[in-house]
Amino acid sequence: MTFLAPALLAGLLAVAIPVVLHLVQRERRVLVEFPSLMFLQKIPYQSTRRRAIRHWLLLALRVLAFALMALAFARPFLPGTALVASDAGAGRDVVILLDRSYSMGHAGTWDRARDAARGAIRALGPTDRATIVLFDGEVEVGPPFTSEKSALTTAVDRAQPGSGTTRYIPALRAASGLIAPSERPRREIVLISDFQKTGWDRSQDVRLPPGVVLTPVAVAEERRVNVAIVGLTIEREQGDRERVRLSARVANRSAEPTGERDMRLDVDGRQAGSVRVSLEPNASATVTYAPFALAGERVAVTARLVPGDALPRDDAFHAVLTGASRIPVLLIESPNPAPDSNTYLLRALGVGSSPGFATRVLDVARVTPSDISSAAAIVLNDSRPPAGAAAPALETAVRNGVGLLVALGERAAWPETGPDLLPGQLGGTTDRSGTRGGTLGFIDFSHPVFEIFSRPRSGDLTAGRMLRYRQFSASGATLARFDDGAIALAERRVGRGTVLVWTTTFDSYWNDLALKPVFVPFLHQAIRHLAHYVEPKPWYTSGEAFDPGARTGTEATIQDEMGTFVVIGPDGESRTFERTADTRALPLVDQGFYQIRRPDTGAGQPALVAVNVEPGESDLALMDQAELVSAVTAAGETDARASVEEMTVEERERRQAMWWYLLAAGLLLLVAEVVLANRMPRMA
Amino acid sequence: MRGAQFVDPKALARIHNLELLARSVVDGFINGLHRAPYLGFSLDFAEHRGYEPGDDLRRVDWRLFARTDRYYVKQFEADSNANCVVALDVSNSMRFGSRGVTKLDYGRYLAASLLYLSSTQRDRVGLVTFDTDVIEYVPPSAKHLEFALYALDRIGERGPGSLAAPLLKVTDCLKRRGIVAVISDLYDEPEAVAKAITPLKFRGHDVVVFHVLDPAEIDFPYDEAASFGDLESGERMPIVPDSVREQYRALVQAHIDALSQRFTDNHIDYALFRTSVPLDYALFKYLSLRERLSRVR
Repeated sequence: MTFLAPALLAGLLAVAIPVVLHLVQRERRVLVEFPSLMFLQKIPYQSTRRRAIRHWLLLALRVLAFALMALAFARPFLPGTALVASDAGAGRDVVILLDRSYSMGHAGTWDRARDAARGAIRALGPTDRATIVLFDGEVEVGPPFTSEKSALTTAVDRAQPGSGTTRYIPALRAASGLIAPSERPRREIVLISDFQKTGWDRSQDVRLPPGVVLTPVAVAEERRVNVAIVGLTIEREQGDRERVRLSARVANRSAEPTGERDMRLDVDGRQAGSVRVSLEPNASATVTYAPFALAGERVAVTARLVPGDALPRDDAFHAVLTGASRIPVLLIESPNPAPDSNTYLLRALGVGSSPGFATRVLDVARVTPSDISSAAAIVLNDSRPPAGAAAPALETAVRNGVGLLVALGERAAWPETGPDLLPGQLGGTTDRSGTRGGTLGFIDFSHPVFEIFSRPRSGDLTAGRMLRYRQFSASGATLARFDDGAIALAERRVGRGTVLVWTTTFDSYWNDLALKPVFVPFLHQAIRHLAHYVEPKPWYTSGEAFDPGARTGTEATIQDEMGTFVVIGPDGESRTFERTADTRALPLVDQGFYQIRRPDTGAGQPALVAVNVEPGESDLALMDQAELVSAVTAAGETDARASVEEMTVEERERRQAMWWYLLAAGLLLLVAEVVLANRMPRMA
Repeated sequence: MRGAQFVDPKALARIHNLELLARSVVDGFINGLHRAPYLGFSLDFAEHRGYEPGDDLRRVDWRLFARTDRYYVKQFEADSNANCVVALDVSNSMRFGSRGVTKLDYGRYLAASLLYLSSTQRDRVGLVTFDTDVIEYVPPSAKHLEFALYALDRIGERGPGSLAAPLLKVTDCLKRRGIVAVISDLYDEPEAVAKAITPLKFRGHDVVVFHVLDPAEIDFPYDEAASFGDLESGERMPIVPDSVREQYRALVQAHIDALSQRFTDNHIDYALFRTSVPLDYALFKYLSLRERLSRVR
């Protein structure tokens, strides 16, 4: 008799377990509570020592059961049997999954990974076929299944660790899809990775096809030291010149202290600050730099750890800072405005910083088409609409994307000949000042204007008392109503622009909402919504996409430019990107700064985009490979390090399946032992 | 009344005609059954003394005057009521019970019976519960039976126990001589137990020690080898009962004998109560014996 896993015969030592249990544990399995051990402790220890074995039958059953189970795990089989694997001569199909996430760039790891991949290629037999699949968050499938080792080796040699993050599930799915159509009896996936814990998402499920064997090859060192800059915090200080204070968060992801390091800050390529930092094991800290003035519309900043460590990718963090943008707002008032009709509006718009609001106030009679075209949002505050040439200009501007907010008071009117912009018909005035007034009753919190108030304790819009408001019969969407059901805020999309109608005023005469804390954020949110304001992102994460034709900041009109863009990547190489209706966004892969411009802009300032690596990938904690293997493969198909000969032997053993009978016999003996042991006290 | 369930009618019916009398003189205010340290009014003649102006003429012994031609007045022993304080050990070891009733429950019934009996004798009753410290103290008073029974009722989960510290406090608290009944399983060295209890005796109290034990603690009837866990310390010890039973029994008996010897030496009453023996029977036996011994003395 031969054993497939003779090393497991060491399990025969387990026959000593029943003896030990019999002598030791059996006495301790029951706990008897006793008032005091005072007298028992006085009895010499010899008399409480292990009892002699009395039930030899029980002992024999236990010893035999353990011996049978140890034999079963050693997988015995008869070598002289006529059963021979029928597919002994068939070749294999092998998918070599090579992790190229940026954590593989840790000192020496990538070299070991490539060596392992080359080793797997060398181990291929003459009839075996293989393919290379590179993966991080994305999967790149190499040459189709081939027996040409040189092609496979070339693919391995060309591969480099990127800026991506480890994700095993898509890689295994891709490998599964590649190997599933194979009709070869032996199919194998070799997974070469550093097996980071962060790369395994337990919530997702993937199963390899039956018969596919997964071989994990770990190439990471047991103890890896890594310090990473995981984020930046940007605080803006308003004044004569806008100043920015940056704080960088740095984390030590290892069990060793970092020692003294410099956290350097570069602004547009020049060193602007440096702070020394020292971190305890598995600790993090925030480093704050001295504030600096923004020199231009946008500056490129980089926080960098000096000197770097064995994993340089996460030692730098990039961002693009833009000067505080200001939304141009045109406030149109009536020729004879109420004394404080604009007071609260101007005060509220004056405190905005991110973005700010550049507000111009004009009499409705003096508004010109150029005033309208220069605004991103227009507030018609208790006034009739502009007349003359400004009327069609207003309608055109709104259709092109300019937002219009109409506040209705006693002076508001909308003539029949006015621009067709209102989302309904204007009616008379409801006066509830004789009572305590009304409140907002219904609010559509799913709308962008009110979304920030949807969370608990984020602002009570119903705090304001509404004493008077204009009746309005809306044909568009109703975003808010008063408690008597009358419309408070209605919306209408006109072309690419938006019109909001607020059926009461922004003063303190018709209501006191302007005196409530929610007024400022409500007004800011409404103007942002009307102006289609998009917050510029200071940085992107590798793997995200950037749409170079999309509107950013406070540009007056919505862009949607198709065509060619020139992209200069972090490596300095220039290439073109064709923006079409199908491919609008440019994938950002590498860490660093991308410059993007139209080919015809010449020396004009290009768009600048900062890309950082995913901070989670810098956590180099290792996962249990056995867990991954058992999660994705069927039982019995996890061990794939066997050679061709070993596989044949394994097949032979599998067909005889003697281990199964031995295991069953062992379990039966254990059951018999349990029954017998339970009867022993009664028998005694 | 909460706690009334501890006054077992069966036990009281058995002992109602017995008395818990102090063997030593005790301090009291009103007439009772116990000997007082002062002379007063009772049927027991104490001594003669010379007549002094102001003495009640009715107390002049005229027969002695006839013999001696001198005036003497007769003085009698005073009978008084007494403080009867029960000190009940409520430590974790008292929570042991192999036959349903725990030692603590048994002790509570015993304490309640003693208190009730004393109360019916017009004695002032008090209660002390303790583990390593005094947990509850109901000072002795003729009106405190209800409070004492309520205190017995609300005994909760406690920790390990010791005698020395709490009984020292009790000794300090009880200024007036009376009867002190200590109910405990006395899990300590005999010397330490005696050292803890004798100060009460030295203060003039009539001390009665009720040693409450479960039969399993005396006979050790266990068969199966097991881990034995100390209820107070939580310590565990693997024990094969067959091997240690005889030695254990001998040690327990030696402990009881040593306690009995030390209490007898100090004129302290000692009674071993097994929780397997019905309380009425055990109490009747003890009080009867005490009465008989009192007569002998």
